[in-house]
Amino acid sequence: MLTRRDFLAYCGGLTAASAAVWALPDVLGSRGWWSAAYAQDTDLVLDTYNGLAAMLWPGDDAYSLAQGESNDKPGAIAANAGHHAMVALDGLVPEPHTALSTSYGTVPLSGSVASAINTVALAVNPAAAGGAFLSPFARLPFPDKAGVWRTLEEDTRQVSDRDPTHSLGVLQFVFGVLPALVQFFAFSEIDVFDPATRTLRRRPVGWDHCGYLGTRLVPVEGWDEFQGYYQGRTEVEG
Amino acid sequence: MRDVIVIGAGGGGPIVAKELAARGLDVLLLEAGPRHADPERQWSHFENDASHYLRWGPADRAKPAWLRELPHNGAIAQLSGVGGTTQHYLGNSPRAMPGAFAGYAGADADAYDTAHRFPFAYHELVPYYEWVEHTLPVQTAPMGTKEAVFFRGAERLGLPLNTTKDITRDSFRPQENAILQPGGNAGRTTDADRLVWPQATGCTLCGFCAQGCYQPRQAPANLKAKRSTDNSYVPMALTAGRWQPGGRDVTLIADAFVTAIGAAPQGGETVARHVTWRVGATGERVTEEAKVIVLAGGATESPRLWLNSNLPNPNDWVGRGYTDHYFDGVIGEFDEDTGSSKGPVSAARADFPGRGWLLHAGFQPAFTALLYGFSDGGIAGFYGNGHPDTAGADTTGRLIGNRFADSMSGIGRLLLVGAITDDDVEANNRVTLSQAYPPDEHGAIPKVFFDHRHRSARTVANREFLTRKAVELVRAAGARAVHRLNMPPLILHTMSTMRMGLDAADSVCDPNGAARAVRHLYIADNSVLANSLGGPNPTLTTQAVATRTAETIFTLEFGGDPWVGHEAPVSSIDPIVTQAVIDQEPIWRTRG
Repeated sequence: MLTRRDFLAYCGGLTAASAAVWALPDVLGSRGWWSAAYAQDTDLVLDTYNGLAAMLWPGDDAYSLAQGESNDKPGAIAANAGHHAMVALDGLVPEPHTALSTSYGTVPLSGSVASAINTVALAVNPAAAGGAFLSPFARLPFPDKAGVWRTLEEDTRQVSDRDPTHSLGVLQFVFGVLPALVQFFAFSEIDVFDPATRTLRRRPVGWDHCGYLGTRLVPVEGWDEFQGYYQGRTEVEG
Repeated sequence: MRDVIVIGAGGGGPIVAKELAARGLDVLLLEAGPRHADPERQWSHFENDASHYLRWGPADRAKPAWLRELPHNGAIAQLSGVGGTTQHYLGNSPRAMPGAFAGYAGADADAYDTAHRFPFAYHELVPYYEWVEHTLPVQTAPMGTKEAVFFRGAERLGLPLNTTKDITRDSFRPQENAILQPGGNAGRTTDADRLVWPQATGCTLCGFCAQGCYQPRQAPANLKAKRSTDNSYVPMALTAGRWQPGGRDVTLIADAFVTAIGAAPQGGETVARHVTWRVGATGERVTEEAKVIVLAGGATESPRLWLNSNLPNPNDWVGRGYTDHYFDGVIGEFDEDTGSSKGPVSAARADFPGRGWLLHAGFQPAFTALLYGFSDGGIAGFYGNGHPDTAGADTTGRLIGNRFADSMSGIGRLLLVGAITDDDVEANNRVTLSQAYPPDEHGAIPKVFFDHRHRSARTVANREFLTRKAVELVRAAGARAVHRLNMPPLILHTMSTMRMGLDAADSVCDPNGAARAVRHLYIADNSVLANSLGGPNPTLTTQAVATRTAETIFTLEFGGDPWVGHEAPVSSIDPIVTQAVIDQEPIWRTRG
């Protein structure tokens, strides 16, 4: 069982590694220190973010049914929001700039973040060690998933609350904003957008869910919403 | 040697550039990001697509954004590119609250950040407000469905209507927006073929203010509806020799990230001499000298550049005192159409002097969904993350699961009201140079830190007061359910990291916007604001102060005469400006 102290030490190690990887990428790469990020099985990582997407906006998919919080409509899984969150995390942080490097690559974060989520998932509910999905987090019941986020968020924050100079840095930021990022992607056009033509292949799942723009594939240039001016005042008095 | 180099073409820099170019000075305007000279083809109304061209990053969309260290939950919403953050601002252009200024003697004088007032009186700034309000121009917002719902709530709370520019009592009103009022077909049709200039003029009520305004289509840049600086002051600056007798066109260079301000000792002082920038496309470094340098990189980048340039910081206040209006907000769910994604994103407000104000806003689905997940209050129904107060709402924290799905099932039945706080200048909220991450190609990266769980008692009380008012207003308007977002730092109204002040012990600039520690160096962006203005949106006040600073530069550094109060301003939509823009736009589009 992972204790709170173990967890904080674990996060601290991840934070240190994530900071250090910018300074010593070659050394870290040769020693395999960053293997938690780079060597994560792609399917396992995606499975983790799918489990998160289903927690945030459940639908009629297998992840939602397994967590015990579902409905009869497409949700974030249908919008492929977990995949897009994973890609976004991997594009968040540029590789270090050096005089010898002209690379504009990025440091993959999704693997290490997924590793943290799954590690805490096993601590919250050891029964998640086996089951239908690759990711322990994805196997959890809905309340336990919220419990994982509580650990990830509250424990790292409490460190900073006690001592604002002691920050868990990138992890505190990522755990804080990741749910919002997934919800953004789930209701955006990202999964059906053709960047070559900058048009949509079909209507986004989120647009249909919230009744946005009727049945249109193209956003409007304007609305017939003009109702005049409040009390007929077109300007203030001075 | 240039007369003036302005660093940053965002909300403040183009004001100084245009005003001094109109006086005939040789002005170079540098911008780190891209220039979108043909937004009708470069931008779109898709929410995720917009996040790739409106961002803090280089012109090449294939390259990652520039990194900043934010060591806690939250987000920094600033943009690179000509127009800076005004490219996605909402155009709200209220004046600051008089209580934020020196000499204020109203009955509520003690209700403000009394330790950090502006170093001059409110009435001294009014002529500069009027100059900017005419130039942009600023106009009263129209009303649609969502504004009618908000006004209904404000009326039922018993708030009076404010019918003036000045904010002197608790009240509500349509926004005074830097957005041209709808004319012709605008606001009266959804037919795209009829929403083309000049059949449609001004705001078409499309609802995409935050994604860069290019409406109405085919309008010259200076007649686009939203008066972001790329649509107002920059076109004027680039054509100053064509509409102002004796004026001189500004030279604009985009994709030019300034990495150093060069200074040298002279007569016991440090004197600004030159500017060095990196050309994004090639990596080349370029240096130019100027008699006067104006720093306008924004409240995060200006202190970063100062520190990276190793300029003097004798009182250690460079980067300190960051204010952000400590945002919060509520979302109400209605059984009626609220028109939430239609019309100007924010066209109505309620002000509470000494506290802040309530922002009425409507967004598109992805950003609305993002707001439901953007919280410092844990997950609704599970944990409060040490901050569980609902302020009278039904729920708080992130909304997830089927409850989130239910709420998002009707984007047209939501009403968002933001609580925008009059927050205190606090030394611990600041910009420093990151120690955790190595420098990027522009030097050490900035670390932005808000000690948001330990803000001043007045700041916290103001936020709770406003959030409670927001809940009351939304309920009074008819909401059947209200959710409090309980946001982490949303660093969007960025202010006061290079603040001006009367006291040299806690300010970087003197009351004229001149740096105390470096001669011939001025600051003209949001960072120079003395405080958070009592809560109102900062851009108009930044622009009024920048106009005042431009006049100071012209009189003190170049021996000229002041003009505000002596001349009539030329509006950015004046036909003489329009003709100049029409003549030049084909060249701008070719050059980028």
